[in-house]
Amino acid sequence: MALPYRFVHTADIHLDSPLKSLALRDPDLAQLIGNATRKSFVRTVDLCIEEAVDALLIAGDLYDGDQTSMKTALFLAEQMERLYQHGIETFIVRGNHDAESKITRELVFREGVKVFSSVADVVRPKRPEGSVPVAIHGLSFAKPHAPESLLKKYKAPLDRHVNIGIMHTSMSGAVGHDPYAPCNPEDLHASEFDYWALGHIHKRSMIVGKTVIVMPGNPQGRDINESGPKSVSLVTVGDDRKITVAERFTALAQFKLVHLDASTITEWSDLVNAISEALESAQDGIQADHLVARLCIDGNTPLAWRIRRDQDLLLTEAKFRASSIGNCWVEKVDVACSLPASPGSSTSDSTDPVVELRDLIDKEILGTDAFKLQLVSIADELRGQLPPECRDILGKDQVGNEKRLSQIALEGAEDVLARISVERSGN
Amino acid sequence: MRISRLDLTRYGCFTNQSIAFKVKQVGNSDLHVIYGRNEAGKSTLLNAYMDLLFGIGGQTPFNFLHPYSTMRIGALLEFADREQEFIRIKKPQGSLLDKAERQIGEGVIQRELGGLDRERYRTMFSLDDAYLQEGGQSILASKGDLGVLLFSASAGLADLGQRLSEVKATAEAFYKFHAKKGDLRDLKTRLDEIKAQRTELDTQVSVYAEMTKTRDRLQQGYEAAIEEDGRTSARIAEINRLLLALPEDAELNRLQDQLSVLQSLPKVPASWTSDLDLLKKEEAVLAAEQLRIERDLSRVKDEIEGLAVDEIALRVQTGMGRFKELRSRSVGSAVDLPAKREERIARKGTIDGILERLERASEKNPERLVLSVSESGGLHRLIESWSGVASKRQTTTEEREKAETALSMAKAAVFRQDDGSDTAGPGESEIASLSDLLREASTVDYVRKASLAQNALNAASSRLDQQLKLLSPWPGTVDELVAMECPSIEQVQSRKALLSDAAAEMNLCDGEYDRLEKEREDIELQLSAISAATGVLGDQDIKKFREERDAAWLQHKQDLQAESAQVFEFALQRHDEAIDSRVAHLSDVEKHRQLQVKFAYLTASLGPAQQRWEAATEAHQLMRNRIAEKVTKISPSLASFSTDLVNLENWLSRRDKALELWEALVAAEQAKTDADIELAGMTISLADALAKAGQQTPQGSGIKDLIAIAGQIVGEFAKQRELRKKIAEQETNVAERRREEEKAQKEVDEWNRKWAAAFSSCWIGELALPTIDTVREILSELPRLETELTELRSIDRRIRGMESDEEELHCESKRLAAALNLDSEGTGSEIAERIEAYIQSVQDTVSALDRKKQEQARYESEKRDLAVKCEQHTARKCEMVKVLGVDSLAEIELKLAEIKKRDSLTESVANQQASIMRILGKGTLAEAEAVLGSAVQEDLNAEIAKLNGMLPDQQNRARELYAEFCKAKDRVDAVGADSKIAELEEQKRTILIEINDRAEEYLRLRAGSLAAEIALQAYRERHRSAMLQRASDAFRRICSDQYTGLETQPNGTGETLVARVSRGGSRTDNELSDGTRRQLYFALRIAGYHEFVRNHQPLPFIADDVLESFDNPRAGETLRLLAEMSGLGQVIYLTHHEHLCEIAREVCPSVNIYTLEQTALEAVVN
Repeated sequence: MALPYRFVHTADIHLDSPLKSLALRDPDLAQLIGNATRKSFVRTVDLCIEEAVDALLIAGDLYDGDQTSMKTALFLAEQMERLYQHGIETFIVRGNHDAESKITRELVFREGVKVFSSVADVVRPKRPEGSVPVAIHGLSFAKPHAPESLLKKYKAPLDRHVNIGIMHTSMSGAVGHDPYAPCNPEDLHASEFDYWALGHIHKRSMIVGKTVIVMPGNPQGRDINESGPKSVSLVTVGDDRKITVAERFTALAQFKLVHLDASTITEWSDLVNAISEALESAQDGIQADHLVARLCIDGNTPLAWRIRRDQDLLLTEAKFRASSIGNCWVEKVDVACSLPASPGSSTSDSTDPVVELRDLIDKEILGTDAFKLQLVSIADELRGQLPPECRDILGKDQVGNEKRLSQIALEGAEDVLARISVERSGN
Repeated sequence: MRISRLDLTRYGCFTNQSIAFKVKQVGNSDLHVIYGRNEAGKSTLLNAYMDLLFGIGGQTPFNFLHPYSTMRIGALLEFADREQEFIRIKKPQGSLLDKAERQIGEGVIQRELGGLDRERYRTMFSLDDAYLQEGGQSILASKGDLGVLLFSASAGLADLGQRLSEVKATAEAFYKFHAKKGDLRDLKTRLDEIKAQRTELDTQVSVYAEMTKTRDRLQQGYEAAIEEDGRTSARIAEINRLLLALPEDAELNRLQDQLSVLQSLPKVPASWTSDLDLLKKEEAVLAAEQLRIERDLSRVKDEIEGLAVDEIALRVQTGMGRFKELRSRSVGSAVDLPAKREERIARKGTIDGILERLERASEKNPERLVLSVSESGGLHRLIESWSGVASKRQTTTEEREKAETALSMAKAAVFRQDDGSDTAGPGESEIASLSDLLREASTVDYVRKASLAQNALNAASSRLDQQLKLLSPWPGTVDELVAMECPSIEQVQSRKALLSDAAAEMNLCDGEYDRLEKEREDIELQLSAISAATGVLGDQDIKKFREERDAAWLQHKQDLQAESAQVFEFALQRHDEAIDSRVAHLSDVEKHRQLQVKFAYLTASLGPAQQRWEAATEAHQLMRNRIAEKVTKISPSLASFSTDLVNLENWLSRRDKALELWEALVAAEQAKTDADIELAGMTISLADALAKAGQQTPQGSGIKDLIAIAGQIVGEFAKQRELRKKIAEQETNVAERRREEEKAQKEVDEWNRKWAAAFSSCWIGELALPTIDTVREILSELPRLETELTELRSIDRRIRGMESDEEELHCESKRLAAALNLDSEGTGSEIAERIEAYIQSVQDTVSALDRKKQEQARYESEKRDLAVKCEQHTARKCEMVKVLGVDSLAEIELKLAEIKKRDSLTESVANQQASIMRILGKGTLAEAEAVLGSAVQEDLNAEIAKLNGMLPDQQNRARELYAEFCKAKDRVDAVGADSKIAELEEQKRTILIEINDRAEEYLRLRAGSLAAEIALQAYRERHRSAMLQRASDAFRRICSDQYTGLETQPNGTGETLVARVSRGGSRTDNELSDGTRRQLYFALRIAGYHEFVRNHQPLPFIADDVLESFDNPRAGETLRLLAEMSGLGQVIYLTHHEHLCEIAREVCPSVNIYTLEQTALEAVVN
């Protein structure tokens, strides 16, 4: 009997890689979404079992390179075992992180799991008689770096088979990032494969052409830089060799940058209500159990300095509003507000001493070497006290360091003026 | 901010007082000087203003008049964008109220104060002498930067430095150099804890690899040891098996020897042994059975021969149908017949009873007594109709008797009425006319009518007399009154109106005259008053004085003497004085002149007015005379009415009324006469009518008596007529009732005839005159008689039937008995019983014969079956005989025993072989024998002893290895797949993010406060010079005679302010005189105020007599500075020096000056 071939395609699981969010300081939330990479992987396995697929394809980066705990490896083995118990095969290629990882060497998978080696291989899963034959190709990273394209090393597609390739690749690559087995969609389309199961880039994308190319993204975002819905792909190869791809959401928590323009707001209570509304609308369309939002407030408002001064109060207020929305959490409030320019008075002749002070700071202080020197010494002193993991707080090189310090000084001046000014006027 | 109004409602010495500050006009100053003597409340006012802004202090001394609970200040304040009323009461909280006395927040005012608190406001801009000095000293005494102090104080940024320190402290809560505490330190501690926990809980991959290697090595060692141990144990077991197998092998050989002897015996089925037993038993059974069957057959044949059947009886039996039927009936009737006979006797008795009641006991044929339906129906109808016929006759008789009684009673009544007199009564016509008159007389009450007319006459006469009396003083009679000639009331009214008009005209003229006269008097008074008050003389006087002066001059010119000169001088002086006086009081003179003109005019008007009055008076009098004349003409007695037209008018209306009453009297008299005539006429008519009816009446009888007599006569006549009519009716009734009675009697007779006829045709007629009741009883008995007779007939029929059956049975029995050769004597039943017994015996014999024949057939069948069995038995025996070669069953038995023994040996051999193979664990006998062949018992014993010695050591070794392996395996297994490490890692990561976040915040705040500190310094530098310049200018202007300005001099730690002396050199504040020092302090405040206003909305600047020690020029200059400053904001200066008000006016003409008194506040402009 002819049956379709169905599989789940995921990548970049980064098992036991921690979430990076200040929101986790809340022990309740830490309880709810802690270990999200694990829980999300369990969900993927659950999905395979529920859908009774034929296989799970993992296109690299099972865990972080610096992951050294054996517990992580054993957990992975446990999950593979679950799949095996349900007759589901697993096909894995190793990515850059896996190649770095010591776990890779120690973890031995049992039957039912095919880990492709650094020599290209092809596997033909058993298919019921009369079904379309399927060939799964794979090639693992031998070392953490692969500056050349791996595509040409893959075996040629098999005749009459539906050829599925699993590859860890940075595709055409992003500027400023190391290339990992780079290749471009044109080459993939030219490869005469039917489906390319890719991994490495954490944002989902799909190109349907001569071949179906899917970069599923990671199944669980780990910080605000990995915002947006996260998912795996449920792929069906029909009797007619037609390939359909469905997106299935797996994340426990979804990070989201929630932008709020405070330009039209003049009252504190209105601001708090606007935050509430912004969070509520952000909550709509969230494809995860929890929303972890970072609020970014900008725009010109008379409340600008008060917002700066009472940023902690605002965060508390936002958290409270979020908690009443439910399954909504606020990790941080970023403020980029300014006071509106008062009509008819330029900064220079304003009679407000604080405005004058600010003008002085901008024009006559921040740029001076004396000030910069003092600031550098403050920063150096602090850096010496920080734990080693935090010592790159200002950047890794001197240029970046100075640039960042100037920015901090600018923001700091704004913050401090806000504090002294707002208290002065007693708002 | 500006104060528009300050209300001192209840505060200090003030009660319900208020000071309103003038509104600032464009181009004018906003300087307000309030002047008040000592104790007028200036300091109180200043304090009230501060209390309004900042609240009334807890221990305020301003409660000496009004207690705390009632203290109250109010104000109307002007802000940049609005005006607002405030009220301040004394209360710890919520003491600021709005106009409607609702609480409002302090912020409303505080916001407008540019960050100044009470103390700072007082020190800077709300000064009295003490504050001026104290504040000035504190400014100068401070060792710091004067610019900072002045700037901070005036710009309201005094605690900016403190705020910055707070910001810095906030930053340093995270990290501070060399500090023992701090959030960063805590976070790092937490990180270390997590690291330690992780080390404790985690298994690194490399360690894990080592652990698995150890585990695997131990596993291999253990498995090798187990294997060696196994081999030793196996060898021991094998030797033991060989030692067991050797004796078994010997036994096997013995058994095989025994078996070889019996090998030649044939093989037979295993069942033969049991078959043989069966055959032996069967042989005996078959023989016994054969004997039994032969015996039974001969017995049955004998019994059949002994049974004989009567064939005749069998034939007769077929024709016995009728006999059986009769026989069964006869059995039934033997019980029924006597019962029926008894019933018949009972029924007969009942019938006899009924006949007895019908008095027909001797009746031979009771059937005859039963009546036909028509007969009994006819009798019933007659009986039912009897009661109707009889009662009708009785009713008619009773009614007839009643009518006869009524007739005789009516006749008796007429007889009584006739009374026996034989005189003829009055005729119908007389009675009819009398009756008509009587009806008329009773309809109209003539007597009453006459008396009513008399009463009306009397009343009219009396009313007229009354009215005549009202006409006094006129004394005449009615007739005179009627004849009198009078004017009509309308004429009188017209006269009256004319007279009244004349009187009004007269009064009007009189009033006009009075008014003119009064006005003239008033003017006269005014004229004399003007003259008296001003000494103004009238033009006449002047003229007179002038003439006298001129005269004196002429005299003096003429005389040129001292006396004439003196006279002339007097006249001239008097004239000049008069002229002067007039000049001095020109307006009065003018007024005097106007009054004089008016006086003259009024005097001229008085004459014509008097003439008009006199003419009106005359016309009025003329009219009155004319009226008096006319009244007298009516009657002299009415002369008094000539002046009183209203009374005359009333009298005339009374006269009209009297005339009306007179006319009514005449009409009443006529009515009385008519009534009397009618009464007399009716009396005469009634008397005539009575006479005609034969009733004589006494002469002079009144009409009432006549009416009574006539009524009696008419009534009697009517009664007689009624009685006669009633007799006639009763007679008719009696005749009718008699006819009815006769008709009813005829119906009774007819019934009696039908009654007699009804019996004539039936047996009842034989009775002597049967009554209705008798007949009713007979009719009720007859149906029972009929029923009983019917039943009796039915019983008779049944009895007869049964008796006939019995006879037939007797005949039939006799016939059958003869056929069967039986005794035919006796009753039917007896014979029948005999027949039945015989037939029964014949049938029994037939049945017995059938049974015996069946028995015989069965035995013969059994005999045939037995023969078949015997053949089978013989066949089986022959088979064994053939195989075994012997004849008898006994021999067969012996042979079979031998065969059995051989089979048993064969089995034992096989078992022995299997046992050896089992012991040795070999599959075939050959293998076993091969092993046994080489086995030597002694060698085996030696080997096993050696092996048993080795075995325990080997086992111990394996156990030890196993324990170690288990431990290693447990360690590996314990690593687990849980998420503890990941959780710790996540906590660590969160802390690192927090450190990063806080570190950035720290840097931001440090960088920001650093920048702000530097900026603040620069700002102060920038502003210091401007302020110092202004203070210097102010000081120079105040003290221009001695000082040219102010400057700062460094003094090691900071700066000192010094005053530049005009003559050269400088002086510190200590070196200045008291007054100059105050002027310096004041100059600093003026500069501060300008700086403050540069950054904020202006506030009122208030000073309380701070210029006391200033000389006039310096005070003037200071006030000028204040006036200039009031261009920026409101300035209020309180003083008790009047000369300062003058100076203020000089230097600032638009200044507003107010006087403050203790009892009242009154604003006096300029």
